[in-house]
Amino acid sequence: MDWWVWLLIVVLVIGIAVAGFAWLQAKRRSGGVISGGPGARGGNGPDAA
Amino acid sequence: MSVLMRATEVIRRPVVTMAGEAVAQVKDIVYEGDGGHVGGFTLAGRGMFAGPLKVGLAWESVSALGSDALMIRDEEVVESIEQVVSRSAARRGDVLGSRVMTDDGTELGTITDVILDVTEVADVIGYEIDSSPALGKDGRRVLIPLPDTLSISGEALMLPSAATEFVSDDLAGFGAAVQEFRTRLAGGGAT
Repeated sequence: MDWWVWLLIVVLVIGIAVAGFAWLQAKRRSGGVISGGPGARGGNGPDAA
Repeated sequence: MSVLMRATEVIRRPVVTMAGEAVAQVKDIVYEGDGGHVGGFTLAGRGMFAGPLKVGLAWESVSALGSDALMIRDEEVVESIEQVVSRSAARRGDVLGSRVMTDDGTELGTITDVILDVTEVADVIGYEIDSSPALGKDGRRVLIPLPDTLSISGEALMLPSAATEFVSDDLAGFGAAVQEFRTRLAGGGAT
């Protein structure tokens, strides 16, 4: 394959990884209303930190 | 001055110091089920790639909870997350998504939001719920008042059955409905 095809693939992979990480962090930043100590059920409790 | 607001409106609100620096954003609201009020907040970072922080904010450290930001004196007032969350040990878990039942065994629906009455403290005065058929509201989201003191334990949140008589469709007038409900309970008229 031509070099620019490889470059395109690398750029796409890095772009998808960065976007995925940003999405994951945004999801972890959003929370809820919790009651009680660490170990809250669900993914949004303080243990998710 | 008393202001009614939904808890989910506070989530993601920036935390700003008196020097004008946005240091974090609100992640979770910590509900002290024993006392029926907000005990504090867990925090998350502000940047695109920032995640949850390992620090929290006790309610006593909040200078003001405004419509656009949560104000604090400076960054010194943040505490470790364990100090904030361990203040409420009544029940573990998310309040949102929990079922609400009356003391006569009727399921009223699942909680979609928590209604706060913010003064010097942030009292939890009601829930917004996706109503069940038993409530006769065609599955709509409605507001249901809470008693003055509410102990949270177990999977479902229990309410006196009289609460179903004081259901509101929106925040306008909900404060009055809560007062009437609590007056009824204080008078021993709850059935």
